[in-house]
Amino acid sequence: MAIDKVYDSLLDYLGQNGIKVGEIDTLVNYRNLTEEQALEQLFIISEFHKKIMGYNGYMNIRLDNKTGRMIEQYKIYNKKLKRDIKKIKLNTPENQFEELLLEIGDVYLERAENCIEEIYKWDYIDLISRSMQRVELCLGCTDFNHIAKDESIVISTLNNCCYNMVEIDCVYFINKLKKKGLTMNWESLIYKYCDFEGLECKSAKFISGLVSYPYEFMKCCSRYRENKKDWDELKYKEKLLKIIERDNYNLI
Amino acid sequence: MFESRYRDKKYLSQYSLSVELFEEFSLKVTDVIPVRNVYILCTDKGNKILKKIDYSINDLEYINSAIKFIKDKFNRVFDFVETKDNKIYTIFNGDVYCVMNLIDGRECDFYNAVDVSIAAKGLGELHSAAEGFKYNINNKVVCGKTIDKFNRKLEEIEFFKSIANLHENKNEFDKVFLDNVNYYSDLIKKSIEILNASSYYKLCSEEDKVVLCHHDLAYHNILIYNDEAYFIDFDYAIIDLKVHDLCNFIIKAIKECAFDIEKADLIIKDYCRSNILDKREFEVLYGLMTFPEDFYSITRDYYTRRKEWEEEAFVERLNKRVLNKEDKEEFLEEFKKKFCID
Repeated sequence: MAIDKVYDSLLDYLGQNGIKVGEIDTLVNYRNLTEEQALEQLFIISEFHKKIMGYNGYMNIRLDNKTGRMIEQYKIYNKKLKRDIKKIKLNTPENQFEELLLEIGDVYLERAENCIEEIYKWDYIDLISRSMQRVELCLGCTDFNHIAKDESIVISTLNNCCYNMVEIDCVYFINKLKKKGLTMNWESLIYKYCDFEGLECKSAKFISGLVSYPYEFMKCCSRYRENKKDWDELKYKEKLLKIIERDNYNLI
Repeated sequence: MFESRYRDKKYLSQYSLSVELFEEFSLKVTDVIPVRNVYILCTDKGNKILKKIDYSINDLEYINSAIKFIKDKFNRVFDFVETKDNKIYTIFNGDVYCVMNLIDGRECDFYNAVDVSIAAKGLGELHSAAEGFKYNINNKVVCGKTIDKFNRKLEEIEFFKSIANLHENKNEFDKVFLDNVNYYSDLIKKSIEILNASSYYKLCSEEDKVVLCHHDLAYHNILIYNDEAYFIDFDYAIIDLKVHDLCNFIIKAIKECAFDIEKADLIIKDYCRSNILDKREFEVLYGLMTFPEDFYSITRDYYTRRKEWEEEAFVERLNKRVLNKEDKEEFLEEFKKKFCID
């Protein structure tokens, strides 16, 4: 079948480049995770990128292309939140969630807009062009149980692989650690990652901009707006407060 | 990656993948792979596309003429592979088949600012090359008919409204449709007003404003290779104002990005790197973009049962379009200001 052929083609390519696809039984306790372990994982990710870069697909049929998607999504979040806050100000808050949003929404919106501004300031378009020219691929999932290395690099599945800028895998990884409540010298990790990848300083600035973006906050507001979860406004408020409490990272 | 592979499986299963068919095109095929509603053929003469044609031979000849005309000045469109009898098609088991050379590019990604920029510049070049194309099939010449068409579509929407109102037990689609139909009817009226007040008819009489429009500028019909855009699948090509094509391209490229005015602005700038638009064309473009094509098409497809989708798929798509209402409204306001439309 065609799907098998496409899979086989990618598997062959990975195999030829020393990457296996199989089970990973690494157990990592995030609470005790050290900066060295995080750095080691970033190194493995960068090795993976170098090995898979340039894969062009089977008979022109390629993996999903997600280049630029994250930034576009963030711009949409900004636009929608701006409108929400404007509406609440015009009509007065309808519930406690909206009261909270009215109180702190502007601060987060400003930060979110600054992040996007920062990203464009550091030649975002140029970074996209580089990524496309080198045919960069990302893992999409950078957890310890998704990519690991013993004798060779092992990834657990091909499902999340896609064309994207290699910077994005670093963003996923750091965001995951942030979400787990860890505090590390993120800036140092980002610069070292860029070093592993052979990326310029503007890539580090780009990653910092994305990692500083209040993604969890914006996602919660988006869920409330679209009523995506079966939560009442108090639950949304509770979620938002938790996010604010955990959110202690802004590099820009 | 794999989800869309067999979306057209019903249509794909109607293909004859016979050695005799391939021999008509002097091809030795070693592998076939389905993509959307065509097959990629791996052959002794390189990779090709096999397409079963579901329109008339006359329409196919029209597309061939258009491609030949464009190729005079713009080479980044597909080529037909001729049969042993030097024809662009063959009839096999009662079906019409074409083979085209596979362009070695990847699909344009509308989320990717670089791809959009390349595509917009390419579209400007394509339109320059397609200027002056004439053909004597009336239904392919749309120029000058848009206002009438919008009026007809307004009547259709009113008709769908009466159908939905007749339903004693209104379903989810009826409810969402009826909640929004007046808003969209007003938008159609506004679109018609803008076009009536613009130089629409005058522009239609000016040769350099009318081109062969691709008319289906979806991301998968624009391929990017070596930082240049290639255009494929001219099945829906028509002769009309170039701003018609530009309108469709802008809306397709920005609708998933909450109708981002900056992206639209970039598209216009890139288009104008290889083509020219005057103030009157911007007014017409504004009128065309005001028309709620998304809302119209989903309701038409639903009430005329044009698509074999599940009920939930229709409702989901309608809801998505309705949710974009404010984004598009804001976009049109900003567009009006930016391009100084009175």
